[in-house]
Amino acid sequence: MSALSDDSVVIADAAPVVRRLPLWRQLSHNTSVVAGAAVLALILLLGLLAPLLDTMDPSQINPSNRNKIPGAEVTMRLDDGSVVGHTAWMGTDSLGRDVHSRVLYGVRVSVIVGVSVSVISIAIGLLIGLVSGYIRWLDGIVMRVMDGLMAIPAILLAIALVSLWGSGLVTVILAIVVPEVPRVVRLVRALVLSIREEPYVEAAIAAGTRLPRILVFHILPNTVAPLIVQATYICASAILIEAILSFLGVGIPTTTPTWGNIMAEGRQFFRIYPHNILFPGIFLALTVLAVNIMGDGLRDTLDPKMAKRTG
Amino acid sequence: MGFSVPVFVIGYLLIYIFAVKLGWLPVQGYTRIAEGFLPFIERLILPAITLSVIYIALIARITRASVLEVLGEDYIRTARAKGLEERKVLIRHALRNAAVPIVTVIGIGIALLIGGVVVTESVFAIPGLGRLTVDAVLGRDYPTIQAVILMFSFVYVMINLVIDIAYTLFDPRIRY
Amino acid sequence: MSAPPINNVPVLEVRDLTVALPGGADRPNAVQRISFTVNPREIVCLVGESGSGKSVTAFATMGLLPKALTPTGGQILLQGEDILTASEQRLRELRCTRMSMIFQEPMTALNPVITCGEQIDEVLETHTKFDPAERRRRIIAMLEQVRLPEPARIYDSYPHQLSGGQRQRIMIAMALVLDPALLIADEPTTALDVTTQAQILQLIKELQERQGTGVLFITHDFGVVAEIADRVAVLRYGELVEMGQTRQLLTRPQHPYTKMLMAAVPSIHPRHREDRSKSELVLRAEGLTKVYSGGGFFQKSRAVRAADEVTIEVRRGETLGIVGESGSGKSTVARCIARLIDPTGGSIYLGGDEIGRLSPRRLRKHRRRIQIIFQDPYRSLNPRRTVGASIVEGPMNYGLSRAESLERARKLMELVRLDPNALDRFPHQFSGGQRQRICIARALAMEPELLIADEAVSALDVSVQAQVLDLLDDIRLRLNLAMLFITHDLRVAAQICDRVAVMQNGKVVEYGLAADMFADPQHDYTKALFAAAPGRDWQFGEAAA
Repeated sequence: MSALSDDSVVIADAAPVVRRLPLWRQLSHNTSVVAGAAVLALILLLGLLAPLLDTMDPSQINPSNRNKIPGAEVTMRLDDGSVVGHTAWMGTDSLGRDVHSRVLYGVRVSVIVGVSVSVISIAIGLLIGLVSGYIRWLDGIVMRVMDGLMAIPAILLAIALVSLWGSGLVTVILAIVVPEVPRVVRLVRALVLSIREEPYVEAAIAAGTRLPRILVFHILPNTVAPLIVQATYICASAILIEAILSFLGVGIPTTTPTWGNIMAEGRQFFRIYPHNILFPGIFLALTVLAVNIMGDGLRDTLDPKMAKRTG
Repeated sequence: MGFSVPVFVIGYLLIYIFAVKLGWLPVQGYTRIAEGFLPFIERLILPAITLSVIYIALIARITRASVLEVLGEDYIRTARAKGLEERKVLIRHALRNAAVPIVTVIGIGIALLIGGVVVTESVFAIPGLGRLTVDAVLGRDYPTIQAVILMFSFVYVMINLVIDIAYTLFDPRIRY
Repeated sequence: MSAPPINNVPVLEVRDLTVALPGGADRPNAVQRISFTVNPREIVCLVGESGSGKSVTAFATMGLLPKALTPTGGQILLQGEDILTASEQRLRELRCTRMSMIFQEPMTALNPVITCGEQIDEVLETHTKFDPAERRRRIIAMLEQVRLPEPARIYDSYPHQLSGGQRQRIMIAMALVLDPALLIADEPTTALDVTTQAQILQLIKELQERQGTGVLFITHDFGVVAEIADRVAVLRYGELVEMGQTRQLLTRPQHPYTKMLMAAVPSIHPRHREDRSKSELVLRAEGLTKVYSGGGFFQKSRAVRAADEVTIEVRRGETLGIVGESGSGKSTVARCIARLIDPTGGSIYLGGDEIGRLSPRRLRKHRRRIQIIFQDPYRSLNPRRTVGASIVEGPMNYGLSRAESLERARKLMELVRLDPNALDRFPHQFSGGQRQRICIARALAMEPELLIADEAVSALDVSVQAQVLDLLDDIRLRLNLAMLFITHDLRVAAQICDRVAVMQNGKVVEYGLAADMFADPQHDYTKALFAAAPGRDWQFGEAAA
């Protein structure tokens, strides 16, 4: 063994050092992530800049403008009372409201619902999942409750909760959060159960590290990547469920322009004026698709299973 | 892709094309089978297709994901080293090992069909269980809500049991 | 050491083979202009450390390279037919009929949902026109040839019902059932226990001689080479550095790399050690027992005694080795002593304190005194924290300030011969050997009384393994540490241990001074272990010196 000279301070082992690209570079190489993010950014921009994009007051009712086809010229009242000509790019609904304005303002509701549902359900699910994965005696109880929640179809549970709490943006968000939480808990618990077996966690235990510190510094950081992926899927499903709730008339009050409300309103005259359902439908489908595609891309880049060691 | 497109968009698109524009099928509604088999079937075609599109997308997606994962396993390499054709490797070796998550998704899909198709029922004006539940909830009809929830939970548990038993058919390592 | 037959065409002739790596790798080619031949009835070993390109060569020969790797030059001639230009259709016809391959991991190489018999049957179904009865007859005959008991029952068994050694026999049966001219064996015994390894090597050799098969055998282990090879080729970074007859190469290696590799193989004869039997007792485990009760919901639960009445002692400045095969309970003992799992019975005395039954709260102040180093260097460090943060965590838990801890970490980095300025780097920026050094530094930062190394060098290449072993022994001497060294490798145990405890099925079957035990093993199991150690009659280090 002494034949080896190994006195250098920095060792040059036989195995070469593995290099990794910085995360943002990896992500920018992934077509799904880039494409999904680009479409989302565009939709977000439309929602943000809605007042500047040839829109009128989205809830202004005008009986003389009822059921105009897309591209029709209508007259609208401004806030100061003056009347101006306006092109209804996406037509008007049965109350004479401008669909183009309503769809663009509807972006805002969908984005708020999508983002807040994913943030809240991840936060709650993470907390419950961490505790459940580490405190064994609580685990059984918590998981049975979660199983019970999962046995009820998400939409029905949300409907029940909204009817219990009364309709509105906040209650809709919470009603969508409740059925999502068990899914996050399951994911986090599975992650915790596998990470706690890792030697680096055992090394930390052997080093006398206390439980809260182990959870925060050793386990939590290694759940981030899969949770980000999960968050995108939750976001997509939340946008969809909000639209469904509004469409069924149990979501956000009909006075607020949301894609679901626009479509619900268009149901009645669908056979003659399909544009009321067509345009918000296209936006909804496009948004959900973009979020999901971005999620797939993120999963391929971030998922540790995909990034198998080459050593 | 399909599962990203909301049910009502697919539903209304189908109604618009096949019922309104082409006039091949009735637009909406439901007829009891006692009132004639043909009208009964005619009114079920579009809702069935609508739901199928969603489930096809869902099952295709999970199948692709789990087959891709299995294709990275060592025994796939062994199968190729035997000189098997790629088709046989895929069907005999990959698909069977990928079956467990696929069966799970199909099972949960069936469970959701029982009560989770509120939207499709609304679009096609079908007085189904989903619609009944929504109306019960909105009308605070508690006995109905209780009955319906009890039934959903029962179906969910039974289907999960069937899924668990199905696992043993696909994977000899699973024993209860 | 049979001479290659003169009149026969070689079964395999590799000429100037070059396989390109994808862009961004640390070198342009996985394999660079290598040439060698395998004759009928001959076993040629490709030896090299990880990343040497030995497996790439094997997969290129089978036409099974992953898409990222492309052969860019040379020829691979299988009985004169070029594999690299053959169509996919032709390759499929050749596999299992003219060339077969067995793999490293018998646990994962068989499809878990198809019976073993059916998996072999697929080979016959694909390549022959035999009727089902004839196929079954041949398979049963082949299962007998690989000496599996009750072939008819094995035929209908699923892989998970068989042991690792039995699965590898199934793989061999599958590979040789059509009597191919060439067998490629890619580290076929690396994942197996040493006694199983000896049997499998014996079997391969026997069948190969009977059928006249040429074998390309890939390994990293010079012991295995000495056991099985007729000729040896040494690979480094994709280049063939030396090739020759086994005896000649093992006794008179020419290339400096070959010499270095062989010098790094630990000798199976224990070194002379100072007598420590009078020094202070650090650890005494008495009747240590760990019982796992398992069983499913509908199954009768059955208890496994993973550790059964184990009594061992470690003194200051002394290394106790626990040697055993997988499932012997050696890691269970280590983890019980480190209190990573709770022992079911018995006592653990650390100095004068009993720590085997302490509650987590009372245990905490003793945690510092026992530190452990794990096997897998890739999983032993938190990937999201800098190595500095990992090292200082322990001392800071016990009240040392950040600055003092960092100062200690810098000193320890020097002690394990790493650059102290590398403390702010992340684990993925280090190689396996370097990570294992960091883990040693992390353990030492606690100033432990007892250091446990659980297979700490098993995942490392032989040259790196030698460096880390030297480092561990050096540290033990310098800090006068008590060390508990868990290993499956007798050679490693011979080099580092003062005393050895041999474990089998949870029990210590032999316990004594390393020098005595290696000279004259008493228990039957110990004797079997020693007899199975590959290349036990060779002194690799001496040949290289």
